[in-house]
Amino acid sequence: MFMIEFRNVTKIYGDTTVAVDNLSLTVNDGELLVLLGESGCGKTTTLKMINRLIEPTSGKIFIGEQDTGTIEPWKLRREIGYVFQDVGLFPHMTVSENVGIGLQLLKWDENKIRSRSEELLALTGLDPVQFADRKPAELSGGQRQRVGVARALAASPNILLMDEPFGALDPMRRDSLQNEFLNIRAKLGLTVVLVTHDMTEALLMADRIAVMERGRIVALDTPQRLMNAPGHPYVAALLETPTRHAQKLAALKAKQ
Amino acid sequence: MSELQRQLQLLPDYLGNHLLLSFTSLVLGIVICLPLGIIVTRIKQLQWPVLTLASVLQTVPGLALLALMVPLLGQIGFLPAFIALVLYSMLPILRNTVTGILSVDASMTEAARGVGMTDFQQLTRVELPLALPVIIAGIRTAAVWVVGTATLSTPVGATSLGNYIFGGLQTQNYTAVMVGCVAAAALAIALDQLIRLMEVAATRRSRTLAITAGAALLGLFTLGIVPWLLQLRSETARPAIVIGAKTFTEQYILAGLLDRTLQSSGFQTTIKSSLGSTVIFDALKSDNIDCYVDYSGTIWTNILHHSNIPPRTQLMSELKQALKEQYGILMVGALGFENTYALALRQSQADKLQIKTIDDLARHSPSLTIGSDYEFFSRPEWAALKQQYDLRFAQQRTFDPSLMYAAVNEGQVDVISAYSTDGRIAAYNLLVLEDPKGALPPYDAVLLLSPRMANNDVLVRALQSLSGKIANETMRHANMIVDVEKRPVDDAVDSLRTLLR
Repeated sequence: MFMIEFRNVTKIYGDTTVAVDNLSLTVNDGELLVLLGESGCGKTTTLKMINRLIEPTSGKIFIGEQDTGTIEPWKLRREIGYVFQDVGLFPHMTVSENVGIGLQLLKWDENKIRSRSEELLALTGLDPVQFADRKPAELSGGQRQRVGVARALAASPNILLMDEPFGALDPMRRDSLQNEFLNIRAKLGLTVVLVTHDMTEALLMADRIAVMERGRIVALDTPQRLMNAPGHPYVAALLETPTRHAQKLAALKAKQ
Repeated sequence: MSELQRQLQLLPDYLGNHLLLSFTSLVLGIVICLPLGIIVTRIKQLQWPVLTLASVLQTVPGLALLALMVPLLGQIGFLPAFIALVLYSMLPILRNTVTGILSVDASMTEAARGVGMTDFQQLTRVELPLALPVIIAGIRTAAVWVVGTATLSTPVGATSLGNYIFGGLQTQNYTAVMVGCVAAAALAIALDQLIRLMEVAATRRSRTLAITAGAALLGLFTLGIVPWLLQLRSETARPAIVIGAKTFTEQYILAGLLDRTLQSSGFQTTIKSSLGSTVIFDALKSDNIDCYVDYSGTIWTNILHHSNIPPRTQLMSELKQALKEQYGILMVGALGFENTYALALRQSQADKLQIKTIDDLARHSPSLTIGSDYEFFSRPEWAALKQQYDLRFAQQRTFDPSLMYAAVNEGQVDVISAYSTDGRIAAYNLLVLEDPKGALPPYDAVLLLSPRMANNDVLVRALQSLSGKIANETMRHANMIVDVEKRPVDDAVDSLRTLLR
């Protein structure tokens, strides 16, 4: 069971800044849940509390039946894949060393690490022969993000956390990487929590979307249901832009 | 044999010792500062006190830091120099370790935690590798500082390339000074460049380059140290008697004389020269050296802290007794000559102002400038002179003793505190002023023997053969050979030995 459950989780920075306010949320096993909102809404804090990169001020987070607060943070993190907003590849390691770092921490055999990282590079669309021994500085932004995904998947985690993983890419590349990722995810059956501020990305990728505002979830539903019945005015406002874009594009197509 | 060849024969010993001292200091500096720097990045409250302490140590002048270690450790030689250099190497290594680690991008440390590294793994696999170029740059700075500062370890009794420089400056042997400076500079440059190569290797993460630079560093160390080790092995027995000398010509000559006298009596000997004048007595009383020549008045006022000045014979017997009782030091006897501090000025100026005694000088002192060596102005003798004659000079200037005579000769100062046996008094036609009030004590040259050797009858007898043998004139002549005729110290020793026969 790889269900993630937040129970009354609050995070306060300093004495006063409430980043996450008494949040309760369940991410179902095998689900792709998007945390959506503007910067400062608490979505990234929420994500980072799952693998304890940030510790909650109060409340508990469970994975399956287990309280994450009772697991050594580094042990917990080795079980959970993480894709960083700024990729965070280690510049002093080669691509295959970066992909295999988690396996090295788990004390895998060197040869097995090598073949596993080549397998993952292939899965994320990078030719291992060409890329395995390069340094991150020699890669393009899109290639680096693929390596980032490969690294997150190396230890065969059941849960994957993604912090604005496609934010820095140009639209074409972003679209193809999104689709490829959805394929990989379908193949591996992962539970995914993905943070973004891009409503279109959320609508296209999510099983469910949790819309956050000022540390609270103001809406939680499937893309289809949100689209048709936004409910909360903030959600309606967020949906307005992609809807208008879609209508304009449809109109252009019709005129011809 | 040319002078250069003669000096180069000393190179293996000086360079070997210099390298050993610098390398070991640097290595211990790294061993202490790397972990300390890492701890400081983890415990932020320690950062300010640790870095401030290292900065303060750095502001202490190298020579003073070295000299301070002698009373603190109660011994001279390798250890005080080593400790001082370790302290001196700390700041750049510490500062660069801290800066290097703290400037690792926050996204890197978060990624390290995110992939499941423990704190220790985060340090060794991410932070240290990324900070390495900065840390090596700090080590490089420290290496250059240590190699340079190690030349100052001669006065605390550690052999180094500084032996060339200190000895050479005092005896005006500029070949020796040059050899010392060139060797020290070449060593510093070589180290600087090789460590820079390490830095480049760390930046480019090139293992080949790092191994090359490491091998070259090891090669440099081996090359410098092996000839010295071979020389050490070829010496049959460990030297039994250590002879000390202060930092002026007469002392170098007397050390040479003691050396040859003892060797001809069958003793193994070695000379530690250019010891600071506060260091040398401490070294004797703690058996770090075994014999040297000091001056009765110097010990009377500066070590025993007496302000009264008894008649000569009484002073000598009281001195002998006090040294025995308080320190276990044996005063073997007086050599026969006296080297007093004496105020001197150019004969021409003395004639013009009609000055013959210090009393006459006092009347003119407000319009005159006095020059002296490093220590005289802080010695009790100067205080006594000033008080008893009411001396009030317009200006006081401090010189290296070897430059003081030229300064008065060229009129940069009017009066100097000359040493009465110095050959340059006659050479520069200086007038030594009389001391009618007897403010200055007698300065008979006396032979002192360390506590551990005080009961060695054979040694005492060998040294007693020198008692009363060297007259003022004899010593002055020997000094003149070096200071005025610019000949090697060995020639002066030869001349003394001929006269003694």
